[in-house]
Parts: sequence; structure tokens; C-alpha cells
Amino acid sequence: MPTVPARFIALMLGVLGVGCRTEVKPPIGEDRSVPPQRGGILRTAFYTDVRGLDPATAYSTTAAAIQGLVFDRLVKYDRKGRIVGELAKSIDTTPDGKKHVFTLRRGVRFHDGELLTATDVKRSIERALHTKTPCPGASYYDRISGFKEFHSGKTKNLSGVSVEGPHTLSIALSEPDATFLHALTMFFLAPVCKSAGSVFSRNFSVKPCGSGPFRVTHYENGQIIKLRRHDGYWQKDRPYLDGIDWYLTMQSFTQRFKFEDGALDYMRDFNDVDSLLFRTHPKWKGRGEWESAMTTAGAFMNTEMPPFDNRHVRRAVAFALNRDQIAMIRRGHVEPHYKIVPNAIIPDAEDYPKQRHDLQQALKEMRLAGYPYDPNTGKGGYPKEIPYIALLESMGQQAAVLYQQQLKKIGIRLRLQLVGWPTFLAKTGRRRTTPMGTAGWHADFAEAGAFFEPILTSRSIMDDGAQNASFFSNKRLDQLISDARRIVDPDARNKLYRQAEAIVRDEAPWATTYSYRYYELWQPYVHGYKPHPVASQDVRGMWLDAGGRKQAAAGMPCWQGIPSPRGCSHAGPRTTLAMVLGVRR
Amino acid sequence: MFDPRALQRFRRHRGAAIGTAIVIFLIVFAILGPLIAGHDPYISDFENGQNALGRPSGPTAAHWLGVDALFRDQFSRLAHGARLSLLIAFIATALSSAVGALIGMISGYTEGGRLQAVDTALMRFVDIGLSFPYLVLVMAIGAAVGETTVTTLLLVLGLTSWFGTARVIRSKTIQVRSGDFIIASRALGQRTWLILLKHILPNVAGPLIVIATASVAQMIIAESVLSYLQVGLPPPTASWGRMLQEGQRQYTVAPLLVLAPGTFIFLSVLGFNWVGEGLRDALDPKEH
Repeated sequence: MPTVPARFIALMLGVLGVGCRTEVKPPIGEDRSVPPQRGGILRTAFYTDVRGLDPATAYSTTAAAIQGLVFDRLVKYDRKGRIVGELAKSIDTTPDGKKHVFTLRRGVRFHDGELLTATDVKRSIERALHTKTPCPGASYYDRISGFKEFHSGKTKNLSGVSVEGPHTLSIALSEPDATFLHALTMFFLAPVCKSAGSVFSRNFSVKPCGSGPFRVTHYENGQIIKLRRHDGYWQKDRPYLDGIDWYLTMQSFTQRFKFEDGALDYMRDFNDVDSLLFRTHPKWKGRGEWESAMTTAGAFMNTEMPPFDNRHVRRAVAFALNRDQIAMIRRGHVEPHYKIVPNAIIPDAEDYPKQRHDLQQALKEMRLAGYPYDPNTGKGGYPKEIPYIALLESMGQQAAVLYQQQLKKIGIRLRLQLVGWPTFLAKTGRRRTTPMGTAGWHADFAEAGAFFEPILTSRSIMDDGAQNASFFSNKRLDQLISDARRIVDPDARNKLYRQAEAIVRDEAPWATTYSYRYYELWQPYVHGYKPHPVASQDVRGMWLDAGGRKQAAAGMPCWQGIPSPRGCSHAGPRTTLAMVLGVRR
Repeated sequence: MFDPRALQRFRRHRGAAIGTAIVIFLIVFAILGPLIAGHDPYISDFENGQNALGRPSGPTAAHWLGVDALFRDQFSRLAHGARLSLLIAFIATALSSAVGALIGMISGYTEGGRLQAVDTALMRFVDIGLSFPYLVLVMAIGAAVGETTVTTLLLVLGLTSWFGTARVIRSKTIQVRSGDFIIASRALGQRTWLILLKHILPNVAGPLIVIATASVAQMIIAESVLSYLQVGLPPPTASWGRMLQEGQRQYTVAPLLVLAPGTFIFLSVLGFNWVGEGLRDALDPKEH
């Protein structure tokens, strides 16, 4: 007999009418006006897995959320999006912008109890940029003096980083770099304990040790990461929480039901339907907030492969895609988008260079490309099917289906290939392998260069593992981005980025179509949280009102599989379907 | 050979009657549904498919079962899904039955004779095949093949599901081959393949038909599960399993997106299983 997956059976039982829920339950627990208090374990979840937490190598938004709790950096963004010191008490930059001197806080302890010194910071920087450490963000720091020699293994000392005292560190740059401090807000160079060793090791990736407010006590791939308070944390009386249980690879569907029944305290991975249900429920209304959209998405076209080695075909695609229709498939979460840099970083304007939807122009570009197409007869167009790679169960997959429909109108036929994340990365990063696919980029830091540099410059082209999936090489764009890094004045810098946008609009290595934003919601007894303007899921300041939570725990059904410190009640008939649909992952 | 009273017994079987009605309904729906749907299952209708909130609409005069998350007509996709599911199920079953019958007859015919080694080898191979969980095997092959097309799906389903059939047909062949008419045929010098075709096959046809009918239901489930787990046919193909998978996101606000394909999967499995049971009782009443 065939074995049928539990989820499939569950859904079929749901179909038979075991239960039906067309609205969300009102919040359980109470929003009381009480002062901040310590204690409690926050429970939340990710839809995806977190593959390693070594700050030098882990490079995903989910890893960054956990790293933000485990590691402190020299600098960070404050709530207004400004760069301020985190481990650095003060930052002094020389007038020529070529040297930054960091004075470190005193009394900062690593999770292993050791005191942090400038030597630890230098050691951590050298570890991350070591030739044997596969740091995906190393190029962000290539203007540190001596970087080339050190990163290539020619020298054993990164000469630009100097320890000038137990708590003073200086970083000299070969030329001014306006994005350098922004790049330091990323976790790649975050100070790590001595146990990390001098180069990347897989062991440290699952047993990380830093100086952040929480330490990792349990890390089970695909299941859970348990964080507990670092008692030696330098900030007095912080963090408030005793710990955080972060569940991994939990479907958004399952998360919603667990959240609703009080088994999760905070949630972000809503699908559009569930977020709408919560946003419009009178008792939930106003409890959550949108995270700012720092993502640009669309389709990349490999400029080294036919037919996209022909710029007219690329331009035809960019003209043919109807962004308004694409935004309709996840209303609220998705906004039509026509440029590379998200509006949260450089706001859109009428005269800003950007792509647009114009079907007639798209047909004209197809003619110019040598593939004329007659929409009335359906004759002509590009003769072959083009493979299009998209991530399984993603917005990219849904968008791809619409691209398929829309490009058919100009004589381009796409054949979808749905793959998992590792395959997607491998295939899109390998030269002359994938002609077209889902493109998306989330800001590493709040700078336009964080978009152009890693995904559209020649420097990000490699034979394998390239981030520049369109393998787009344009000397003028390279120069503009390089020049922009030298300019300290943000307005002058943005002028260059604007010129870079015009190149992307005209050459169309990407057809940008939408930007995505998340809706975040937390229980009434969760306090001290607001989405950060730059960092994703920065829950450091959260605290739980134990009294308010007690009520929530009392209403929690037993089936959830997530234990409550205060026990649980039996599920009532209303939760029956949730039980069925939330069967073991 | 078929018992002439079999048809009578089949007619009297209540389950078989209901099952037959369901199967006929599904076949008619698969043939006529796409013609009466009036919408392309692969084109989004953003104009008529929206409700007042700008979200995909539920049932309306323009879209009888509403539209899915991508604003495509649900009825039309269901009808095209029926065509695809039944087509895959029938052809894969035919393939599986043909291979199973052939292997089973060869194995049964050679059992205990000079070519015992053939029977042993074939049956050990069948043992290995049966030891793998069917769907896991199909999913593994599907993943290895990479790009799934109707042809690869047919081959994967058809060529991984014949083991049980071969077992049953082998037993039946062993039973039949000792009959006088087989001995007579051999004595007259009839070739082995002709004996298998003319004498053995008609006598094992009864259980073969019963297994095949039940197998159609299994194929429908298998195809749906593969599509549900996104290792079946890629989007935008309209298949019931994929519709179920895509609809679950909207389950809370648009239960019909799950209910409709789910009901069709349920009905088709039920229908074919009941027909299979009816055939079994009709063709081989002694055993039941």
C-alpha cells in the first residue's frame, strides 16, 4: 500500500468537513499597563531553516535575526536608521575618511566569561577575512589597508587593523569608503570568542559564542534554536527575557494556528490571507505592524545566455511584465516595484529612472531583437521554451506563473523549474547554467550600494557561487558604484546610484517587479517591540508580562507540541481542524 | 475464462453500481468539463475574478467555483485536472498491468521447471521492489529525473507499481498452467508465447482487471500526492493535487479551493475502489 504523507491526509480530512475556520480567534491574554519586567521565554518560529550561525559565513535574513541576539557588533543602526556604536563607545573618523578609530566599551564579556578587548576584535576581523574562511561579504571590506594581501593568504597580518590599546582599535582604509561603517553593521566581522579559532569551522557554526545578550544553548537543524540570557551582558538589567525558543522550518500555516492558540508569542511569516484576517479582526486590529520593505524582487536574465545575450529581448521582458497584476496576488505584502533600490532606501519619484509596463514597446523590442511576434495570430516570437528557475512554495513561484502568462503575449514561452534553496543557489550562481529565474535581494544595510554591488557589478561575477545571477557586466555601472563608495555626501552618492539605475533600466539584466514586506504581530502580553527600520526581527528589547501571559497559557490546547510553563487545556471543537492541519511536520 | 454470471453479480453489487456511476460521472466531466467551462485554466482573469476587496472572488456567474489565488477559473482547472488525472491514472495503470501481467505469467510459467532460475530472479526482484515504500520510491525517482513531464510521470508511476500485480498473476498462472488444455497445447507443440497469450492470459484476466481497477485509484492518489508535494507536474499545470496544495494557503477564506479538488480526489478513489470490489466479487465469487 502506498504511504500517504500525514499533511495530505490531514488536508483531505479537512475537506471532509472535520472542521472549518473562516476567521481568527480574538487575542488571549491581556495588554496591561505594567512596567517592563524580566523573565519568561519568548516562543517564535521561522518558515525556513537556519543553516549555521557563524557570523563570518552565515548570510541570510533568518540567520541575521538570531545573530543579532548572539553577537554584538562594533556599530549598529539605531531606531532612526543612524549608525551608532554598539561595542564601540565612540568612533572617530579622520577628516580624509581613511581611518576609523573605535574606542570599545569596558566590561564587555563573551559568553565564555572572557573580557572583550581590542585584540579580540582584530582576531575576529582577521578570522572572517582569512583566506580559508568562505566569507560571502568579504568584498564589503576590501578597502581595509592590506586586505588583498591578507585575503589572498600572502600575509598573516591584516595591516589595516591595528590594536592601539586594550580598548582602542583603528581600521585604516586604502581609500575613503562611505559604505564602510554601514558594512560594519552586518555580522561578518562581529567579535567572537577565542573558541572560534582563527578560521571558519563547522563546529562553531552550531555552537556559536559571542558577546550578545543571548547565548545558544541548543541548536537542532530544522527543529529549534534555544537561546538563553547571557548573565554577563554588558548592558545592565538587559535583556528582559530569560530566553527565546526559535522554532525552525515551521510552515506559515502551522505558525498561524499556533500563534492563534497562544503557543507562539510573536509571528512574522504570515501568508497574505492570514495577515488580512488578523489585520481586519476588530480585536487584533492595530496590534501588529508592517516591517519596512527592504526587498527588491523580479526576474533575472542571464546576459551570457541566449536569448538574453540580446539586450532587446531583456528590454522586451522588462516592458512586458505587468507589476500591478503581480502585486494583486499578495495584496498588502507586495507592492509593484520598478527599480533596483527599494523605496525605503531611495524613495520613488516621477523622474527617477525606472522600468515600466508597456506591451507595445515590448513587442517593438521583440521585433528589434529579431523575434517579431503577432499577438493576433500567435505567430513568431522566440522559438524555444526558456527554462525559468523559481524557489518552491515561494512568492517567486506564484509570480513566475504570471510572468509565464504575460510573456506569452510577446512570444516568449517559459518552462518553470521549481527547486529548493540549495539547488537554486547552485544553479543561479553557476556560469552559463540558468537563463532566467527569480531574482530577489534584501538590503544587507541601508545603502543603495548594498544592492548594486553584490548583484549587478562585474566584481560579483564568479564561475561558481556568483551572486550576480544575470552575469551582467557593465564597466560604466562598475565605475559608478565604485565611485559612489568614495563619496561621503549621501546626496552626491545618490546621484551616482541614480545613473546606475538608468543603466539597469536600459540594459535590463533584471526585470524588477515587486517589493515584499512582512507583517509582524505579537500577543497582547508581549511588550517592548517595534519593527526595526533596518534590522529584521530585532527582538532584543522584548519583554513579557507574566500576568497577561497566564491567561493565554490557560487557553492553550495540549496538542500543540509546544509545552507551556503553565500547562494546557484540551482542545475544543473549534480547534479540531487546526489540530488536523498542524499535524507533525 | 469469464463466468457468464459475472455481469449479473456485478449489477447486483450496490457498491459497484455507485462506483460505476461515480466513474462515469468523472469520465463525462473530464471530457465535457473543459468544453463547458468557458475559461482558459491557465489565464488569470483580473477583471472578473476580483471581489469588492480586490481579492480572488468566490463563486460568481462568471466563475462558477470562484477563482484561485492567481485569479484562474477554478471550475476550468478542476475539469482540466480531471482530464489529466484520469489520463495519467489510466495509462499508468495500463502500463503497470501490462508489465505486471507479463512478468507474472513468465514467472509463474517457469516456476518449478527447467527455467526455475528465471522465476527466482524475477520474484527476488519483485521482493526488492515491494520492500520500498511506493510513494517514497516514486518521489525519489521523480526527484532524480528532475524535470517532470506527463511522460516521465507515466513511466515513473507505471514502472514502479507492477510488483504486486506480478505476484498475483504468478500465483494464478501456476494454478492455470496445470490445466489439461495447457498440457494439450504443449503436447501439440504450441509455442510458449502463444500458450501464454491464448490460454494463460484469458484465464488470469479476471484478477488482472480487479487489480487494475483498484490500481487506477492508487494512481490518482499517487499523482495527487506527488503534485501536492510539488514533485509532480510543474505549474501552471492544472492537477488536483497541485490545486489542493495551492488552495491550502487560502483555506480559511476560500475553503472551496481545497474542497473542490479534495472532493474529486476522494470521489474518484472511492469510485474506482468500489468498482474494483464489485468486479472482484463478480469475477471470483468463491473467494469472497
